Amino acid sequence: MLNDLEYFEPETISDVITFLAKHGKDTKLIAGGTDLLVDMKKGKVKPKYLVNLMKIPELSHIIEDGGGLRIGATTTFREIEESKLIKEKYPLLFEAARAMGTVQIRNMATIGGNICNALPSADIPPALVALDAKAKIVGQSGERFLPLEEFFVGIRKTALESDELIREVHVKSPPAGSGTAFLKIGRTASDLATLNVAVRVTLENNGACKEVRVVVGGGVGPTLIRSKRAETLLEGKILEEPLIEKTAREVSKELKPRPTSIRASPFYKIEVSKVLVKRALMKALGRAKAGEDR
Amino acid sequence: MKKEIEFTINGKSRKLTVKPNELLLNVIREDLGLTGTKYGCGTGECGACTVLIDEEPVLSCLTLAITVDKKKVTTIEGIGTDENPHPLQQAFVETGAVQCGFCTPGMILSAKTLLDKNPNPTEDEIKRAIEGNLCRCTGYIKIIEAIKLASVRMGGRRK
Amino acid sequence: MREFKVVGKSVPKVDAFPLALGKPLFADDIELKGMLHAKILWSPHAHARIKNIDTGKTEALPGVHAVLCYKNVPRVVHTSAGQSWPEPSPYDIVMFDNKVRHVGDRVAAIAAETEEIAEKALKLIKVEYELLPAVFDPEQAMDEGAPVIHDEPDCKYLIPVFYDPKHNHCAHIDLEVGDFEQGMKEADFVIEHKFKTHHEQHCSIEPHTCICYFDHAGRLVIRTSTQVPFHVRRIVAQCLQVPERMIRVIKPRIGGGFGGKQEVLIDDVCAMLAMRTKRPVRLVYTREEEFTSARVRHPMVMWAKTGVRKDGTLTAIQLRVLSNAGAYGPHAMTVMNNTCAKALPLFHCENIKWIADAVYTNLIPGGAYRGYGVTQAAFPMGVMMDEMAETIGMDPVNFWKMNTIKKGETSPIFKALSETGKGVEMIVESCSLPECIDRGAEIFGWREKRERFKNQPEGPVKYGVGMSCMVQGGTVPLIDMASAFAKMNDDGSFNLLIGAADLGTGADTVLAQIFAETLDIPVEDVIVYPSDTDITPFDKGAYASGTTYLSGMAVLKTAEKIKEQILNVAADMLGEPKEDLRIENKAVISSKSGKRVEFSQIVKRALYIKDQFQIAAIASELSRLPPQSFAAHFAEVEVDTETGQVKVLSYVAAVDCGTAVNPKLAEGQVEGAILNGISYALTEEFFFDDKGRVLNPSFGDYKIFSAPDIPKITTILVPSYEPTGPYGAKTVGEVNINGPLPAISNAIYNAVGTRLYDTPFTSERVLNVLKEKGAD
Repeated sequence: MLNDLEYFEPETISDVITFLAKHGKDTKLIAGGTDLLVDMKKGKVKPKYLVNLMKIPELSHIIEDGGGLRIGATTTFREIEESKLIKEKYPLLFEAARAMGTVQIRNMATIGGNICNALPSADIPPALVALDAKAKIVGQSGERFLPLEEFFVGIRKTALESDELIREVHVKSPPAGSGTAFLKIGRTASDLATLNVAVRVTLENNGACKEVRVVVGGGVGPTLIRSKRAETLLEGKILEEPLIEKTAREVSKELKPRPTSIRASPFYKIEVSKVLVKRALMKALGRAKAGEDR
Repeated sequence: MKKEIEFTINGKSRKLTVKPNELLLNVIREDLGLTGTKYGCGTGECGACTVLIDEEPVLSCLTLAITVDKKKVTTIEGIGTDENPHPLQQAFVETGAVQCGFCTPGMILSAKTLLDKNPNPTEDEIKRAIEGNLCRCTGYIKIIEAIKLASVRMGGRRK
Repeated sequence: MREFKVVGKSVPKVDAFPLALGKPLFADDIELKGMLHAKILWSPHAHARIKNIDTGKTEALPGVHAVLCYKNVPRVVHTSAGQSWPEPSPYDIVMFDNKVRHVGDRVAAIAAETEEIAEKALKLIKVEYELLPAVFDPEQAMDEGAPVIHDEPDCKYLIPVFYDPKHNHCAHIDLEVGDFEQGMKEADFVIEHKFKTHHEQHCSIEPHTCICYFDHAGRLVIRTSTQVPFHVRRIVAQCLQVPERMIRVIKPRIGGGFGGKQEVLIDDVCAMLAMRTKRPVRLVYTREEEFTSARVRHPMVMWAKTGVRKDGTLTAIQLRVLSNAGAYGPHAMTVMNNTCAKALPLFHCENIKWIADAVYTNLIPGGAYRGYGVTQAAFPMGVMMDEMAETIGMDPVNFWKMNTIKKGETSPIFKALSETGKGVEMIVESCSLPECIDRGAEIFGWREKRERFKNQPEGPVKYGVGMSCMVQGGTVPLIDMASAFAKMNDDGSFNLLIGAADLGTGADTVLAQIFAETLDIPVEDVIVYPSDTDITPFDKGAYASGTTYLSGMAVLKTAEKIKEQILNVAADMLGEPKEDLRIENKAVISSKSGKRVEFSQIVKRALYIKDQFQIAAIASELSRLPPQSFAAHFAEVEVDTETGQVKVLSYVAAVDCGTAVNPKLAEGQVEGAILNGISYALTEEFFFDDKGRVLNPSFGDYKIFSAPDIPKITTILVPSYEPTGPYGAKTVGEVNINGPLPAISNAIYNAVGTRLYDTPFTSERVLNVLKEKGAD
C-alpha cells in the first residue's frame, strides 16, 4: 500500500523548481513511476508530496541540433526505441533502450527517471556515457551540466540536490568513423543486467583509434564504470584482436562487483566482462570500419 | 486530498474522485468493477494488470489513478463483447491459447497494440510485444499462434 | 485407432470465451458488502519460539476486527497437504503455533476494514522471539545435535509409517527388488554420481486467493483458488472444529495451480477470521508471499549407481534420495516415494535398490509440484542412461529403446511401492514409447545432428543434442476416487456436475467431450458445473494427473447409466425392445423399424407424460492402477563456452497419453510443462541468505521464461489405447515436465563434453564446470 500523500501536477519546469525549493526534502518527483511506486509499496520511501512531471510539455522531446541530441527527461524508453532518428543515428541508444524492461515498462519508464534512480544495473546509462552524455540539471540556482558518469555517485545515489531536477540529457553525435555496440547478459530476455557493456570506437582516417569509450554496467561497482584504462590502452593504436583482448582483461580489473548480488558472483561478472568487452569492442570496430554508424 | 478526475474508460467518459495514492488497478477492479484486469505481482513484472492508456499497454499496478485524468483507458472489457468479440479474443479461443485465462486479458491487450501498429508482425516481433506478459500454462506457443491468426484475419479485414 | 465423434477433436475450451472476454470468473472477482481484508504476519526468523505476542495496540486500532495468533485459536494438528483422508503426510502444522520454523512462517493474522488498515495493524503486533539455532542443509539435518524443528509432542502420521521428528527425520522408506549386489556383479561397467536438484516455485499467475462469507442459513462459504475443494472442506472443518455440513467450498475458475493449490494454505485462516468477525473476509497472497510462504518443489540430493553390460543390458539400479522437506512435511513422503514408485518402472531392470529419506530443515516447506518427485528422479536417471549408453558405445536412442518398459510388460516396482506405500500389481496395457522415440528422433533430426555436432564450429559457441525418456503414472491407485452426476433437461441437454477441479487445464471441456461422446450429442448440449461441495459429488481433486483418466471414467459411467434410462423410456415410447435401439445424434433409433424419437421428446415424456421421473445418474470411479503415460524428449542446445550461457534452440516431445481426448488441449499441457521444465532447468532459482531468508521473492529476481526466451517446441502425440481409461485416454498433465533437466544436461554434454549433475544450469554454473574441466 502507498502512504498518504499530496499530489501535484505542475505544467512548467519553473513551477517544479519553486515547489522543490520549498519542499524538496519531502518530495519525490514521479515520471513513469515504475521504480518509485515499487519502492513506495515496499515502504522504502514515503514522500509527503508527489510531483508528477508527465504533464510538463517542455520535458518531453527528442531533438537533434548542433552536434548532438537533446532528450527531454520524461521521454519514455518506448519513444526512444521507436524514434527513427535515434535508430538511424544513435543505434547504441536504440539498442540499450530496447534492452530495458518490457514493452509496458518502456511505455512508462523515462530516461530521466531511469538515470535519477541510479540503479547500477541500468541499461541506458552505459550507452549514454559511451556517447559522452551530459545531464542538464535545473534548480533554484539556475542550470548546470554534468557529465553523466559524474552524475552517478553511488548505488541509487546521484549528484542531484534536493531542489534540482534533470531537464534534459545531451548526447554528442558520434564523430565520423565511429562504431558502437551494446551487449548485455541477463538470465532471460527481460532481466536486469547481470552485466552490460556499451562501447564506442572512433577511428582516424588512417584506421588508428582516435577515441574509445568502454563503459561497463550491471552491478560491477556502486556505479557504472567508464574504463580509463581502455582509453589509455587503445587510443592512438591500430585495434587488433590481441590488443583488444588484453584491454578487456585490463578493464575487468577495474570492476568491483558486490558479492551480494543474486544474479552472479563477482568472479563470474569479472570473467564474463572480459568476454563481453572484447566482443563489444570487436563489434564496434567492425561497425566503425564498415561505416555503419555515422 | 481527494481529487476528481475525468477520463475515458472503454469509450465512455467517466468522472471519479480518487485519492492521490490510489492505484489504477484497484480503481478499475473495485470502483469500476472491471475485474478482467488482474493482480499478479504488484511490481510490474507479470503483466496481468496490463491496460491500454491512450492505446499503449501499461501496468495498472504501477500507475496512480490520479494520473489518468483526461486520458483514454481501455481494459479487456472494452475491446469485445459476447456478440462481437475482438478478432484476438476469437483467435485465442480457437487456437487453445487460453488455459487458465488469468494472463489472457493482459496478453490480448499487449497483442492488440502490436497489431494496431504493425498488422503483419514477424514471430520475433510478436514475442517481443508480449515479453511483459508472463504465462505459466501455455509455454506461449499457442498464444503466438493466436496472434498470428488474428493478424491474418485483421489484415484480411482491412484489405 | 478407434474413431470417435467428439473425443479426439479439438473443440474449443468451454470456458475460453468468457475468459478471453475478461468476465469475472476468478475467486477475487467478486465484491461482497462489508467485506474485510485479511493480512498475515510472517516470521522474520528461521527458527524461534514465540515467548509472547502483544496484540493490544493492534486490536485497539480502529477498523481492525479480529486478530488471530496461537493464543486464541484452537491447536489442531493437521497437514496442509490437500490429500485424501487419512493423509499420507505428517500432522505437523497448526493454524498458529508458539514456534516458527522458517522465515515466512505464520505468526498472526488480522482482518480489517481495508488492506491499508490491516497492513498498519500488522506493524503494531509486538512479538517476543527466543531465537533457536536453525538448520538449512538437508545433509546436516539428521546430524546428532542438529536443532530439532518439530519438538512438539503432538506431531504424528495418521498412517503407520516411519517418523522420527526428534532427528528431523520426516520420512524413510527403502526397498530392493531382485538383488542389487548381484546385478552389480553382472555389470561390465558401474557408474556412480551424486546429483542435486533445486527449489522451484509454481508461479501460478493468480496468487492464492480465498474469500469466505456466510450464506443466508449461516453456513460458511469458502470461495477459493484450489485444486482440491473437497479436501479444503474437510481440512478447514477439522481446523475450525466444526462439522463439514457447516461449510461449502466453491472452486471458481483457477488461475493456474501446478500443485501449488493442492494445499490448504490460506483457507483455514480466512475461514477462522470470517467465523470470528461474522463478516465476509478476503485473503489474497502477494507475489512476495507466494515466494516466501507458499510451497515449493522439494529439492533433493540423489546418489545414483547403475550397472550395465557391454551388450546394453541394464543390470542394476540404485537410487538414494535425500529430500529437503523444509519446515513442514506436506507431501514429503509421497513426493519422495514417487522418485521410485512413479519414476523407476520406466526401466527394464530386475535389480533395483532404492533408499529414501525426507528431512525437516528451516526453509520454506516443500509441497506438491507438477511431476511430484518424478521430475527429481528423472534427472539422475536420464543422465545416467546417457552416460551408460556412451560408456558402451551405443546410441542413446537405441539404449533407451532397449531398456524401457513395453506394452504387455510389468515392473516389480508397481507392486512394491505406490506414492502412499504399498503398490498394486499391473501390466502396462498401453505404451507407444518405442514409436515416440523413433518418431521424435526422426522429426528432431537426431542422427544428422549427432553426426554434425561431432565436428564443432570454430569459436566459443558449441552445439549439442540430448534426449531423455520419461514416464508418469496417473492417480494414486486404490485411494483416488472421482464421481460425476448428470441430469437431463427439457430440450435434451444435460447438466454435468463434476467434483473435478479444472485449474485452467481444460478438464471441464475434456469431461464434457467424454460425456457427449457417450451419448452422441454435441458438446454444446453439456452444461458443465464444476466443483462446489454443496452441489457436485466428490472428487479427490486435480492432482496426480488423474482428471482425464479417473474423473473421465466417472463421467463415462454416468453417461452410460443415463443412456440406459433414455433407452428404457424410448423403448416404451416406440413399443420396441431396448436391444433393437441405439443412440444417434441426440435421438434414439430403432435398428429394426427405423423409427426415431428425439432426446427432447424422450425427456419430455419422462418429465411430464408417463411414469414421470428425472433422467439422471451418478457414478463413481476408483482408481485400480496408475496408467502410465510416456514421452521421449529431444533437446538441441547452444553453449557459449566463454559466458556459460545455454540456449535451447529446439525441443521435440513425442508423447504417449493414450487417446488425446482433445489434442489441442493435450498439446497445451505438453508445451506448458516443457517450457516450465526448461525455465526450471536454466534460470529459476531460489536464493537464501545465511539466516534462511529468501533473497529473490519476485518475478524480477526469480526469472521464469517469457515469450522471447522460448525455443522452437514441437509436440507429437503418438496415440496408444489404454483399455482402463475413457476412450483409451491416459494422462498428460505432468509427464512432460520430467524431460528438460536430463535432456538439456545431456545436450550440454554433447556440446562441450562436460556433464552437469547439479541444477539449474545457469550461465555461472556452466562456466564454472567448464573452467574446472579446463583446469584438469
